Amino acid sequence: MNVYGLDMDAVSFSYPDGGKVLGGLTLRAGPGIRLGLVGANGAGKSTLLGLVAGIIEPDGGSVTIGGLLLGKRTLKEIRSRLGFVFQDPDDQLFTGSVFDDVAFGPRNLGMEEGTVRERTESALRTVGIPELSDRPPFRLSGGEKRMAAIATVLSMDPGLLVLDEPSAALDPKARRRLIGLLSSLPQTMLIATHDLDLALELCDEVAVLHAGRVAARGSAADILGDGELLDRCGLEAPLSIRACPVCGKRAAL
Amino acid sequence: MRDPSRTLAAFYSIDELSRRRSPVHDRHPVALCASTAGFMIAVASFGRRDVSAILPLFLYPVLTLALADLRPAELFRRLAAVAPAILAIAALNPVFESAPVRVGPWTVAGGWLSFVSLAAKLTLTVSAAFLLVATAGMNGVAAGLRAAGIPKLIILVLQTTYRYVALLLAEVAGMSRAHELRSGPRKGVGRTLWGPMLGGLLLRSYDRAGRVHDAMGLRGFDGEFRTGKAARFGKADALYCSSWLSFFALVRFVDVTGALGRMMEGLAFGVVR
Amino acid sequence: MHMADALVSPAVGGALWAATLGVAAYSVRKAKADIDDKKIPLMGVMAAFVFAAQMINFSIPGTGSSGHLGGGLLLAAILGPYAGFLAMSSVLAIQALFFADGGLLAYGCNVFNLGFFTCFIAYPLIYKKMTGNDSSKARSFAAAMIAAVAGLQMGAFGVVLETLLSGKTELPFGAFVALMQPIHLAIGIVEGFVTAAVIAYVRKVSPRLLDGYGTPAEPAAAPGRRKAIGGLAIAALAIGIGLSWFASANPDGLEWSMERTSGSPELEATGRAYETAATIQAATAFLPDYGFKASGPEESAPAWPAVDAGTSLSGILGGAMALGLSALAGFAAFRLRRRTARRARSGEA
Repeated sequence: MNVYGLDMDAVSFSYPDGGKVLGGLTLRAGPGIRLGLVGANGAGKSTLLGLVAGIIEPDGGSVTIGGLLLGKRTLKEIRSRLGFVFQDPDDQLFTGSVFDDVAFGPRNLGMEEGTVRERTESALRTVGIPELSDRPPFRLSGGEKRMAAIATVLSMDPGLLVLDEPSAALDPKARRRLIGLLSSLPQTMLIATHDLDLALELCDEVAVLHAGRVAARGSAADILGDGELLDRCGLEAPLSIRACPVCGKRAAL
Repeated sequence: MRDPSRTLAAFYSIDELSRRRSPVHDRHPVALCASTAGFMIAVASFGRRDVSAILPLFLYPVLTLALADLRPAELFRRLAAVAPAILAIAALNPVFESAPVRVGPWTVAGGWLSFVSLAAKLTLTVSAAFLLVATAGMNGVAAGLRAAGIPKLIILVLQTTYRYVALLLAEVAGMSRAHELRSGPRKGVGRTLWGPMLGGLLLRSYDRAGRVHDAMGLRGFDGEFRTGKAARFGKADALYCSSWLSFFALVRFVDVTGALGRMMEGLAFGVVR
Repeated sequence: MHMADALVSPAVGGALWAATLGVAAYSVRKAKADIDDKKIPLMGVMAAFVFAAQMINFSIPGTGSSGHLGGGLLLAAILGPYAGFLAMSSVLAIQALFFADGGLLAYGCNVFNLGFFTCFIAYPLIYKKMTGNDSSKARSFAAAMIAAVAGLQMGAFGVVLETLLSGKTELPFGAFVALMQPIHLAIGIVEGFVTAAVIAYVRKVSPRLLDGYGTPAEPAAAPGRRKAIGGLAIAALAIGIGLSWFASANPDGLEWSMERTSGSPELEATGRAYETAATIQAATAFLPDYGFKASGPEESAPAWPAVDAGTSLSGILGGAMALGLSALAGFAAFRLRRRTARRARSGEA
């Protein structure tokens, strides 16, 4: 498997009816890096993810994945290189069974049904839900849906994973399983999240998005430990590194 | 009847039933669909006053119910939901057709025959539809439709509908509850809320469809829906399907009931003699 | 109301299935040519929306009763006639399969009554014509109201025709029409109010979304398109009605019309003569002579053979026996299943 890095260079975007959402944004993630993307609501996280996946087109600037420039002609190839996990798994699981959903991508890539089956089963094993293969997606729990949604992109063997709020609406155990799974995967990851504890635990680096720009970028510990920065950008420090409300002690990083 | 939570529960329960295993569930969906189609045509082809000739067809739902480990209660609940409207129409039959006919030793209005006939057909057809979805499930029905040559796009739309019905029902159930909790004793949603409530749901659904479309496109969808290979149509499937179809044909073209009756009469005569 | 399987004959059900498939195949072609593949999930999700929206009860001002959305007209307004028709067909399929609302054989009838008339007649020929390109709130309201009422009146009349052609009830034409049309006038008015309210809301919040999404050239193309829709409507209707009439060579349908026009009840095929004959015959042979069916003189070459032993004594006896045998078979199968299940369980343990 190829692991692809991500390059965004001076990307700008505005909605036809609204103001500018992103203005000249530059962001890099080297191959194999897990990059967290944090920022308050409306900071432009979802827009940025949409631009990376080619769901929306930028007004200016360029997006490159594994050295391949995103454009109309490369869209198909780009999309086979990245796996996009939606915030709401119900958007991603649209067929009648988990198996068909996970097999959807490989089938569209024109693979033999035997290969499709192999890939699908392997993806389901990776996320730990091989027994749910025949279930209809609407009968899954939130955690199972999330895992199934991740399997739908893993079956396409992507080199870059783009995840939008992966821990949203998960119970603590399911969230823990998710963190375990993501930390075991080799892909480059771009993870947009409000769950700063998850970012701290999972990400090598974190970028703070504020008003359509990258306000700061650095190692997860540095960025998420900077209370003043986070406060300025409408965030607050992760619980795990705040002083204990009972004894006042700070956890060691 | 129009209760989103209850509808959702019914929807879930049928889905649950269809994922069981039994000698019927294990049959190829095309065999199940074909048997159902044959059954429907057989039932509907009986005239409006045929009663006794239809009765042997009850073997199909009764036997299927037993073989598929389904409980009659599930079926009756469904029947109870739709029966009143049809029976109300059927109950007009004796009013409009009062000419007397003889039924064995009794004389009744001819309309009662068509009433009973309609009730029997209602029970049989509702049972057959229930048994089909409770054994083949939505995916099985889709396979059946594919085998019948229905355009893929139509099946895809149907499957997408099925996929999102549960989600939207849950949303509507939540909305209705939120509305009920704040609307006092009034029944139903007031006029000023018709637009915002339904319109809001519509816009959210529309947005969801956009995201689903994106999710499809991101995984290489180009308008051509690809499905896996269908399961093999085995000997047991052929046997299942052909036995039922032959039975339906037998009942349809030969007076099985009459034959049974004459046999009994003959026996009785023999005993008397 | 939905047509039930119990009310249709194979001929009528089959004819409308065929007509539905024809219109659906045509709509698929048009929907594919018309728009990008965005409409594929849109049709499914919108159909699910309509299904769920039907569960919301609206209180009708001044009546104390409540009604709900049907959705055909709304789907046409959001998706256009072709995709709207396909989505409505999908709603009806889910209803028929999972909720016994309508039936499998009657499916074509229901698609015609509730999908075709609204999407291909009420929407393009009434709603679109009345609203034009841009319209005031009042005009849009009136258009939705008239289109909804007209669509449901056509649908109700469809139910009447299909039921009578099928000949499964004894209802005379006049009485059935007098029963169905007024009820559906009330239902149509509710449908009109709700549809108008939703369209007004969507127009206010997200005007782009109403019909013609992705088809900006709509006004210019409209005349040809309307002609096409009109032609399609007439053709499909003609086929549906023609086939139904033709198909009602089925004695049931003919019987009905003969009976109504002559005013005399049909000759019951199973009189006392048959009863006596059957008794005699049964005494002489165990296996009945199938050719012996005592068919009445007016039943010449029926499409479906009449095999009903009907109301004779043997009919009653045989009927009881048929039911008894079915129950017995069911019970035996049930026991057998229980035993194999138990054996499987003990085998596992």
